[in-house]
Amino acid sequence: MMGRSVSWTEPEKLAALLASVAPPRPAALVPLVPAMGAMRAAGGARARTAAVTPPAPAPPAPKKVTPRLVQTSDNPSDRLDALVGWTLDHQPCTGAFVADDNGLTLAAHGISEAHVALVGPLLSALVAVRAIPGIDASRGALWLGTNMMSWVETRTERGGFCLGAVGREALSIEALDELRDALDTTVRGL
Amino acid sequence: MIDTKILDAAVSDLRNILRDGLVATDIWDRTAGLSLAGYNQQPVAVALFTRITQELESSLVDSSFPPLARYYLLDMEGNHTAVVVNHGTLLQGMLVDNKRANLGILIAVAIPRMLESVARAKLR
Amino acid sequence: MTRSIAFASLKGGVGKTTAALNCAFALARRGLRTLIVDTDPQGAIGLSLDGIGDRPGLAANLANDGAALAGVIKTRLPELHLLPMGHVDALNVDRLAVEARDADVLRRVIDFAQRDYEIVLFDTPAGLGGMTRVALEAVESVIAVVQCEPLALRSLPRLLELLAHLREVGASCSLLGVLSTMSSFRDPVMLASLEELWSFYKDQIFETAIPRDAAFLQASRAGVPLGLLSRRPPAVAAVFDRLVGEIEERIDLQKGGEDDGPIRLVD
Repeated sequence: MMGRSVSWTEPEKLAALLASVAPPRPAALVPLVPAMGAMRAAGGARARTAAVTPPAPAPPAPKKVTPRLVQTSDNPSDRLDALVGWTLDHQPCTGAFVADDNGLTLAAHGISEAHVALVGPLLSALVAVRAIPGIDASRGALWLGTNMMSWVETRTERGGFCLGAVGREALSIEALDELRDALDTTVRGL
Repeated sequence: MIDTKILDAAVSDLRNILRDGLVATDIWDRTAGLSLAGYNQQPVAVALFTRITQELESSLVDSSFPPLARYYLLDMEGNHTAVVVNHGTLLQGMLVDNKRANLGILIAVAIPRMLESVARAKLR
Repeated sequence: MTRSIAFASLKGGVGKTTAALNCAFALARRGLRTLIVDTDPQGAIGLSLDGIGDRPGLAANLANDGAALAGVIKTRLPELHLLPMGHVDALNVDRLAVEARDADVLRRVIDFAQRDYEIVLFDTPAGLGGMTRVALEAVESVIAVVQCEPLALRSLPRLLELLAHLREVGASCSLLGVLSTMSSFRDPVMLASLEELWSFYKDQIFETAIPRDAAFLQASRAGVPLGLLSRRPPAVAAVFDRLVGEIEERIDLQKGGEDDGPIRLVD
């Protein structure tokens, strides 16, 4: 933009001058990126420990009551990791994820990128479906090869969030209710 | 008047969300370059992104494109993403470590929260 | 040990007094016992603050051979005191600097300040002669104030040359940093000036730049530091909090105090 320096300064001469007037500095400058402390808390660690596992045989449907998800952190990452962990622990699935309505993954474990990539177009397509009176398109299930992906969606002022679970079978209506409840609990604090 | 306490709290919230994925952030007045809140702030970045944003906005307008909305991202070498959030009279830059920060959380949670907080700070 | 800093610039109107005054206020707000001394024969501090008027100060102390700190004014902040210049006859401006050097008055100010203050800031007149030189010979550190425009940038090396010369002849002052003022990203020349400052002076530049802001004019009109312009100070006031944080880091103020411990709220 400029042909010539605005200050008409000769860098070499200036460097020598600065060296002659600079005081000894008391300490080294603070590093640009200070250590930020602990890594994500237990929920995240748990979700990352295991590699993707092959689909397990469908567990017998237990009749026990699923404990409600209790969120104890106000940190979004921790909350989302806890949600994924809770889903894996208490629902018959081998993978789970949370995505926004553009298909951006917020947290995931045990699923392929392809599943998550599907979320964006899927939720976009459901926007039109939702416009049909009497159709609740905020939950559903889809066969993907040998796996079934079940999902629930909730909407907030900041847009939609989707909790998905991948397993051998589609989740029951009761299980989807539980997922929806857990997802609502989680995104309420985001 | 802008409530800088709210901005400070918003930066603290952002650090809490992105943790060590957030390398630096700065919120500044785009006219004066006055930095109002931040973390690991770098004035050179303030000047640079003010200029880039101005160029971007004027180029979009000149090309009859829709104007810049909430933010833009620059994928930079070294696994870093620069995010510039448009708060109107204020701009915010974030330097994010891609390996440590979740892009989904950044876009779906952190940026919307920042936009709300800064809007609240400007209302005061 | 009491630290001493002069705010200096060859060019006038760059914001030395504003920077010195608001830094003093910010330092005092952080609990540091601070004295700001006006060495400008025109009495720039006195002109900037409502309530100073023609109160006697440094000039009167020189004329009367009085105590170095006679005329110190207490302020609303218990930690902030100021020593104005007082009235100086226009015909006596040159003589003032000669007398000040002969009496070593600024070193005496610093010596006497040891007991009551942790830091003494000196606002100097524009230029590198007269009282500015007397101040630079007396202080430990210098903040070079530079407006973000070409002329100010071009004159900055002259100040550094003077500092280097003074150090050669035994003065202990060193450059604490370069403070850029009146920055604005609207004007391409100002932006280019700012970029050159960052590029040439690198670590010497304070990261905090003082922006051009209408609040300065309002504060000047009201005759108060920015921090006292209203109950909720303008956002730009926070700039000085950040700046004094950098100053503290550079001169190691935090570690300097021997009694760096809890301070009783109630005496």
